[in-house]
Amino acid sequence: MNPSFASCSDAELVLAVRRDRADAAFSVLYDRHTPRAFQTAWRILGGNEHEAEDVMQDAWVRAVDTLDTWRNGQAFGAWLRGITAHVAIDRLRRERRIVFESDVELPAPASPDVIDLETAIASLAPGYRVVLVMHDIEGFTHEEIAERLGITAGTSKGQLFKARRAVRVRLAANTAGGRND
Amino acid sequence: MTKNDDYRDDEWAPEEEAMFASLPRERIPSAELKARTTEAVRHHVGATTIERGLSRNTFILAAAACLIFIAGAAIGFAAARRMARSPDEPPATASNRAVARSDAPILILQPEGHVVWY
Repeated sequence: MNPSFASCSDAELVLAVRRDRADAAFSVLYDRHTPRAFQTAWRILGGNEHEAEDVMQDAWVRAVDTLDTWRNGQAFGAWLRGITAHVAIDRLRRERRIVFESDVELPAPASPDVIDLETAIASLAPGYRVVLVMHDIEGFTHEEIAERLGITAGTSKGQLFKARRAVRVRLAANTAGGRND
Repeated sequence: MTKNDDYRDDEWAPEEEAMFASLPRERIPSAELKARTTEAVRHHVGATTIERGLSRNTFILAAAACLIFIAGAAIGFAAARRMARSPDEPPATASNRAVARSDAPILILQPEGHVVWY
């Protein structure tokens, strides 16, 4: 981490990146906010490390390109996570992996082993997973999710309902499996 | 009961919420990603700067060309008006009589005697 920028606020770093295209300032900003945003991308993409890294790179490029839309006082990390989620969703949509229109058949758990919550979320259908991660973990409202996904708030609520049910099914199967052992 | 009420019944129980709260908030990507991202940002920003510079130069050139054209047209128009109003010069159009004279065949007129009637 560059010592001259290490103690700077996000606003100062953003200004340095915008005005001087300072690599050192970008480096500090990157180190400070990437781990949290990367976790978001990783979860939305179902735990695919490689895809999450591609999304993270694209998200930073888009963020730097639109730095003038970031307002001082707004949490930079939350702003970056919003962009990251958007890029991840774009990727899923482009590859037609998200289905919202109808009920999605719940895939059977990959293995009879005990799974944790993270694995249960990762195994959800993308349409469920995106809404669950954005609402229950990232704290987006249904209106915000609806806007980003191009669906109605009602559809977002419906997807969340089914996603929660699917997570419970997986975790319950877990418990039943544990009892059988 | 509405559909939204059904959805509300599906809130997480406190122990489930605790599970969500215990999920890791951060994940460290590979070290290679930082170098890759920095390079991508630098390349993209550089390309954007060049594009913006080009479009600005193109705009300035187009504006300058328009100004030169308008100035030239205005000067030409003003000069034409000044020439048309000049009082020293004869009118540019010939009279009908002058045209008739120039078109008529050349006649050698002989002096003739005049008859005076009383």
